[in-house]
Amino acid sequence: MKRSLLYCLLLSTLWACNRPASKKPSDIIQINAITRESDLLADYPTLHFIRNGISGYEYNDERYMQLMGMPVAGMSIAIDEDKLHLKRISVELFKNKQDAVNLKEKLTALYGKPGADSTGEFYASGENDLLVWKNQQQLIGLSLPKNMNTVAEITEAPTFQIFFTQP
Amino acid sequence: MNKLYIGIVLLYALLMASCGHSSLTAIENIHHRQQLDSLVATLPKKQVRVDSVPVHILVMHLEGDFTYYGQPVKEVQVEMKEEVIVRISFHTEKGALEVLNGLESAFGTGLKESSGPDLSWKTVEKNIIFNVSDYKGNLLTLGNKEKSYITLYFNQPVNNKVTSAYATVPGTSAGDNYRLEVDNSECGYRVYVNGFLALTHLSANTLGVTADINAYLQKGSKQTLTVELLPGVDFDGHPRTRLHQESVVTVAVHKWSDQSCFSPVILQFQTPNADTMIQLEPHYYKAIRASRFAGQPSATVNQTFTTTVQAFELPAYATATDIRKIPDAKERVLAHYRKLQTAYQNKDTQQLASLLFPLEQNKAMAWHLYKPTDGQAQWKNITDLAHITDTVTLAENTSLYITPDGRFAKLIVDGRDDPACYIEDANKVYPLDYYVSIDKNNEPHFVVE
Repeated sequence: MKRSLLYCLLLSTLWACNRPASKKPSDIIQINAITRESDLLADYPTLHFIRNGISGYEYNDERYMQLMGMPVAGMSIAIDEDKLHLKRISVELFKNKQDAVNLKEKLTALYGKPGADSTGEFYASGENDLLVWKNQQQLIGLSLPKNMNTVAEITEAPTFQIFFTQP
Repeated sequence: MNKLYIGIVLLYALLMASCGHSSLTAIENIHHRQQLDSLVATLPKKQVRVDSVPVHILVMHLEGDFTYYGQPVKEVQVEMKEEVIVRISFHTEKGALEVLNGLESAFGTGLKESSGPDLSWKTVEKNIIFNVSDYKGNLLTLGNKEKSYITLYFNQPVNNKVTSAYATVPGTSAGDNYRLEVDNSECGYRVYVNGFLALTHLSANTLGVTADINAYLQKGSKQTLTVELLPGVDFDGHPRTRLHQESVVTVAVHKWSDQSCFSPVILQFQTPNADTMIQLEPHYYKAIRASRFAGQPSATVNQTFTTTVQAFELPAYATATDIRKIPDAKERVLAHYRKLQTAYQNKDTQQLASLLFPLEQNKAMAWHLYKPTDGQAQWKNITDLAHITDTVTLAENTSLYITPDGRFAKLIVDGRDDPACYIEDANKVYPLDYYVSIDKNNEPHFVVE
């Protein structure tokens, strides 16, 4: 009887090993951890990026993408002309006012008070406020609906962008 | 001994438990026509409804106790074209999340292209599209109350023949692809990779002309690139007879793979200029370094580059005879193209398979670019074309282009580099651009496109 129990154990182990492993946190793209050198296709081989033009990719699955802990709806990346570095990441956030306000506060805590876009690197329509943070390697742009603090609900999704500056 | 039996029984029980979807009514287990036929045979006649639709297309509605990844399905719609299953679609009554989890544990993460909750998977035998009916949320909030809508597109050309062949293709892992990117100034050019003509361009001043060169790379890692400078045409479109002073071609070879965002340049070179400057206009000072080959009718420059090791060798390489030594080579090659033309005209898919399938299969197995499913799609294009086409043209005035090593030849239109054999419809020309090799037994084969 002991032996059959052993069989049972061995088999159930085999069976368990045959099942695909559950999703590891490493399969989730942490957008704030992406650097100019990140090779996203190599880093996340299980995720399907869609080629967009000659030097860009898109990724759309909100289950596997987070920006400072909150899920995001879509991302597109552009490769630098040297074809060896990332140039820009654009992220579409969900239409969730509280998330957007929290993100703004987190970025301010990390990089200080935001400024206006003096670089011309980011684009925003007339209905949006464009906030820009600068650090050594990147320019960060956050486009929010105007009067974010007073509106009850937002109708347009905020966007978040990182432009990698060449060292 | 008894314990061993108990062990075997337990093993069997576990096996049954782990592949619990063995009943045919589980839709995910329908892989081909025969299985569908057996299923239809078991259904009462009143549960099978056939739509009256155009000839060769059959649409059936099947009612029964079907399931998809454990979720009940009441009705299934099946579309067949020329006796082959093309599409099966149905919706589950609930359990969208359960279905999604089932699909992802079987086929990995789905591909999501749009912002809605649509996901798709490509497998060797079919493409699966997952969609959630009447749902405004996103995948993070998806639950089991929602209905899923599933469409299965089957890839089964030529009586499953291709499907079973591609099933033996080993999974494609890391692999590099190579691509040329060419800029030119006041000249035309041809670029050859290992003697294969990869690119022809006659107009001046064009930036960023690209060509994939995987099919021309040889076993090993050392490859040869040849640039032939041609006089090209001048500003007004008239052909030149000699190379202009500013005849410079810049070639870059890029490496890329599906495993990386980046595509580094592994070779970049420019055709050489003369050592001394020359003055362009007599009245004012503007001097340039002219092309070293200015004034010549044409010039060639060789350059070698290394790739990651190519383990594959085209089968024809091993046995091909030197076509330059065959006196009636052009007639032999022409006859082989005629065979292809006839096969297309007679819509003879068997003959097409025997002429082109080994080649297409080799490509699918050899190059990462042609993943099994892509190779299969390519093959489906070939057979689809055969069904719609009547006009396969073999040009009248042709010449034989032979690769410098003498092993491969193809027919091109006289005076141009266009393939001599092509299919033409109202909107598009499909070139049948294949090289031919002649083996030791004197049999011609199509080898590389």
